[in-house]
Amino acid sequence: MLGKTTPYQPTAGSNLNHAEIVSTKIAVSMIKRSKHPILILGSYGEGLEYLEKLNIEKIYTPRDMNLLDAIKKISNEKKHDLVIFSGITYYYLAQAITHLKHFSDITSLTIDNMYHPNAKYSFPNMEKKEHLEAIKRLVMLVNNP
Amino acid sequence: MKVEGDIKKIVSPLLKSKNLKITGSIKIGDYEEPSEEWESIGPTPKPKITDLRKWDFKLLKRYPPFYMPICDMCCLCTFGKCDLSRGKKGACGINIKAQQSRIVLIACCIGAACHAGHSRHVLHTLIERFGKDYPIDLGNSIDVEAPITRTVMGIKPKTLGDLEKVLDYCEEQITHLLSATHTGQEGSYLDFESKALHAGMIDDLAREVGDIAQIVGFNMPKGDANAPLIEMGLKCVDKNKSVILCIGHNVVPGAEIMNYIEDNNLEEEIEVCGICCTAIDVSRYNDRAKVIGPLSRQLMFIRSGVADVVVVDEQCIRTDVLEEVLKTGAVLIATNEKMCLGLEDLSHLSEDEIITKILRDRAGLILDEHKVGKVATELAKIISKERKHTKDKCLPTLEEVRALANKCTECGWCDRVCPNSFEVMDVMIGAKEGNFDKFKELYKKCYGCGRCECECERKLPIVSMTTKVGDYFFKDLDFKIRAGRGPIQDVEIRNVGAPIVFGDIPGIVALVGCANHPNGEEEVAMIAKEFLERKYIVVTTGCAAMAIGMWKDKDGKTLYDKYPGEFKAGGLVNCGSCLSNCHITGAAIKVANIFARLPLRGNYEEVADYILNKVGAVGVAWGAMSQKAASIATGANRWGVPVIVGPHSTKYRRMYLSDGNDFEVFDKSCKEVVKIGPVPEHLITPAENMKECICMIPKLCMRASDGPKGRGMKIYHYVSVYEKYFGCMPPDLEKFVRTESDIPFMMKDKIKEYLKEKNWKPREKLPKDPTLIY
Ligand code: SF4
Ligand code: SF4
Ligand code: SF4
Repeated sequence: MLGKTTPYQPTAGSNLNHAEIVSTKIAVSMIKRSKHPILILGSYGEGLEYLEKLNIEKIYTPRDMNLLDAIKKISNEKKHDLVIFSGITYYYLAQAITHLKHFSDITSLTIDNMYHPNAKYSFPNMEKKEHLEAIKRLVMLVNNP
Repeated sequence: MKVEGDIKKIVSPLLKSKNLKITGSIKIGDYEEPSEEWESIGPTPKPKITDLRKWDFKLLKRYPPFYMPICDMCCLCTFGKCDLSRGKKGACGINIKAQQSRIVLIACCIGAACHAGHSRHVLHTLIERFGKDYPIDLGNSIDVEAPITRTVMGIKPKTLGDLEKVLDYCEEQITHLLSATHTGQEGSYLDFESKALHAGMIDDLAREVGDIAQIVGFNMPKGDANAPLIEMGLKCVDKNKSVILCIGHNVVPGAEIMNYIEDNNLEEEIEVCGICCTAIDVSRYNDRAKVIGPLSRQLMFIRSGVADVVVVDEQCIRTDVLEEVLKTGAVLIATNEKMCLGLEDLSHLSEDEIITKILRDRAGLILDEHKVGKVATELAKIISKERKHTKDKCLPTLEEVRALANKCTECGWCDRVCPNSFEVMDVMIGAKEGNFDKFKELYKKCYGCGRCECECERKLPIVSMTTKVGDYFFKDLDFKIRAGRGPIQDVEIRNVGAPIVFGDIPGIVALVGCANHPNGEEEVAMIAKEFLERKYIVVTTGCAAMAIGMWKDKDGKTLYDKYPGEFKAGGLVNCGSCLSNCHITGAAIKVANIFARLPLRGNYEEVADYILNKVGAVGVAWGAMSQKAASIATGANRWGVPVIVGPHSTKYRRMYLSDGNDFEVFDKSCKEVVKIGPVPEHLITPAENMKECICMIPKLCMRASDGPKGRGMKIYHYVSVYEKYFGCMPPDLEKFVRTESDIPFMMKDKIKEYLKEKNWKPREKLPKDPTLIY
């Protein structure tokens, strides 16, 4: 699929500020460097079963909490310094995450196989297989220092 | 007695005496109401923009706006474009929150203007026909004929002429509201929101005018629970007849067509069908009219070529409808000044001249509805003969679909531009091999927006291909919808008032709004089914009402066949079109008035406070798309009715979310401030998927006034849907159990165990008569 840095849905961006692309390696070091990372994990996509094993605090959305409630809570509490998203309906997350972009200092990172322009950092668009490998690697590297 | 000037100032000191009656003639603005002793007048008849600001600020404090800027910039004036991201301000000084709320206000103004314009057109037509003195009579079962007008305007409308005055007020307010969005006016996001809430209220009022006018003027059902079942679906039309398709929202042209057909005994020759709210409203006028379905089926049905004549009126019509209709060999008639499509105005010509002209030009604009009846019908007869052998050729054959799919380069861009990211490419890959399974799935979910086609590098007519697959494989696309019944009867309210307020009826679920569904229409029907089985009252309107009918059980029965149309536990109540949403808020208002005897007249705040704290109703706009949907939802919010929207609605940019902690209310009977759980938790919130939406509904139906039995019932449903859809207990249940008596007997053990884990403590005080007004 072409255009690794074109938003997966080309109109999902919010115009001026688009996410920086990160590799698995950089994502891993971001998570490791973070004092209080949190993963907000949705219910779609193939990497979920691996991400469930990731050794960091998690919120399962929507089961544990509505996505906006989670974003609101995290940005109000100011406890976390990195919030990672995966497995959430693309256009829904793309829109919701703009709240963090404008109203919070928390770093946001998306690790789906679709480039998310409204995060601070995002994986690029990837083929599903390539993405699954990236997720497996990420989980392995974060969990085994 | 004659009271002039600012009635608010005169009356407000006396308000505390509940039974105050003012008799004589009261002059409110330039409107003189004849002497009548129906209710004392409240503090805010015909509220100006700022009159309910205090109430709005109370709501906004509890439910602060949550913004999701869809764009980092503003481009509304030539100072710009301005970058408002990350704390920057525009050249005019505006910041991103104010800018978001400004856009929300603009959307609400568009919505309110749309309904006011629509209602104005219908009313104007009816006044021309019957005169200003034509009475508003909704029959013996409905005394409170116009709850919104009574509350907001402080009048009881008796004639069509009275309704005109309501619209004068609406139009004035919309002008002021819209002007506040000009560069260099309002600067506070909270005030923009208060104005958006005002626009929402005006929208509600304008809709009530339009729907009451059309009910009395076109003799539509007046709260009839047994309104007839109407045929619906892409397959309900007899293709061998001449077919007229009406699209839009305005009943007037469609009604003229029905009249002409009946007057000339052409029923056996001509089929009239409709898409979107026009369909619903024409079927309220004449039950022979057929409903094709919601907006989502618009392009598909036009492309299918079944219609010989397409008549468009206003709102939510594809703006490329002319191009699409001409491709099928049909002709198009535009009938409304809001949608002229560049066509020549033929209104001054005689009907026969218009017919000749349209046969030559294939389309025309007719602004005189009287002529539309004959022109559309006679044209349909001619065109259907002309198209006899070509009608079936509008769509590709299944073989051709396969051949087209073989041209697909598998570039994947269709997937990426589809609003729902449907996997269109995989559908094509399957079809190349003659496997249509994924195509059939796509047909059920796709709303035919055509974005994939526009992007396709091979220019594949993906919507036509999908339509063909649906047409070929699904033979049972014939459904039923109950004709819109209009308002809820006073006696129905009397019967359910107490059980609603104490919670014994676990809630009213209003499924409304457009067809921007993330996964097709069926989910709306599934939500309705879940809550009908649980004996909630399910009310519906518009595209959602159609979506509910587009599902059948194994015996071929739709939910309209299975559930009664009464406003009672387990009833499925189709009020009608978008305009008819007024009867849903109207029902909540009537609970306050008929059951709790709260005066309505000019008494907005008190009524809204009652609804927020005591009427367990929730709106669900699963496919909300339009600016009208934005203003409808915002209008419901100001009345204190929470709304759940689908995932696409985050693009409205703003939700009203509490932080989920305890709320404070004032207990009128103990005269003290009491803490309660967060009920209702949010005023407008999205759900990502149907499961989440279903699980939110019972929670958002909880109210401060619930008795222990009622709260227990609501908790029962909350736990039971959570277990059904997520396989666990709701993670925030402890917030909603006030004391042990709220625990439903059937779930006692597991809830107690859960509460123990959460370190739950019973509340010491529960408000007897909760209010936000103190
Ligand atoms: S209205 Fe204000 S923010 Fe918008 S373009 Fe003009 S100056 Fe910039
Ligand atoms: S027409 Fe259907 S498949 Fe194509 S983009 Fe629109 S919703 Fe997606
Ligand atoms: S955009 Fe067209 S060519 Fe590309 S994958 Fe989709 S159908 Fe095939």
